[in-house]
Amino acid sequence: MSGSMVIDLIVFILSGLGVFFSLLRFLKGPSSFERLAAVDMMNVMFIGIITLLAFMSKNNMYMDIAIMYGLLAFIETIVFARYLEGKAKTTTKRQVEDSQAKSGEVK
Amino acid sequence: MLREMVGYSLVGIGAFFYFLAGLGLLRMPDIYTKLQTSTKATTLGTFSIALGVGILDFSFLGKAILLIAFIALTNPVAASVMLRAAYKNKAPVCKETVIDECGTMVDGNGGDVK
Repeated sequence: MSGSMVIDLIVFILSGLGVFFSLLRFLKGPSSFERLAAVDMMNVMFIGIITLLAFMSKNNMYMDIAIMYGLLAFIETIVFARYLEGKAKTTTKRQVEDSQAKSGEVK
Repeated sequence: MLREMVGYSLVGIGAFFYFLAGLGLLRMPDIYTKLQTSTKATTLGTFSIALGVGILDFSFLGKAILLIAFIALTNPVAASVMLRAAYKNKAPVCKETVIDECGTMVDGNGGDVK
């Protein structure tokens, strides 16, 4: 076993543990936001792992796949986050002050 | 030889940061700290792995730099949008939280989280 193979083994074990912990969080996660965060982090880790596979198989085409995967993962994250944001209304302090000022004028 | 040492060191650092990102996502108490640790660690890990692969094989360097620029643009935006969605839906904070500096939620206690 040469030195570079040992390094590759360590690198893939560490990256695989990161993906595995994210998968555990995806299965456990109490709310939808944690599941979404776990999916996003898994996507970014997959980009790095695809880059490593491109280096190991000496194939330059895998880098294009990594870039396109990153683009699609970004769109997925944005769409799901905006969907989960939904129609949640938060009243800011300024809106409360405005409504109080208006009611004060009426009184 | 020096080139291989630098490249494999960068790849190893990136994989270690992926491990730390997974650990932070698994162990942190609430959604805000989870997103903070995992976003920062995966951004640095992807930078490091792409740069290391580009140094190990110079024919990958152009696309690796393109990938780094792309990750630097998209990853903070995605984390920011996810955090805004969580904050607008009033995701619970952990009990060690001292203050909510944004303070736009009106829950009867201004900006202080009790």
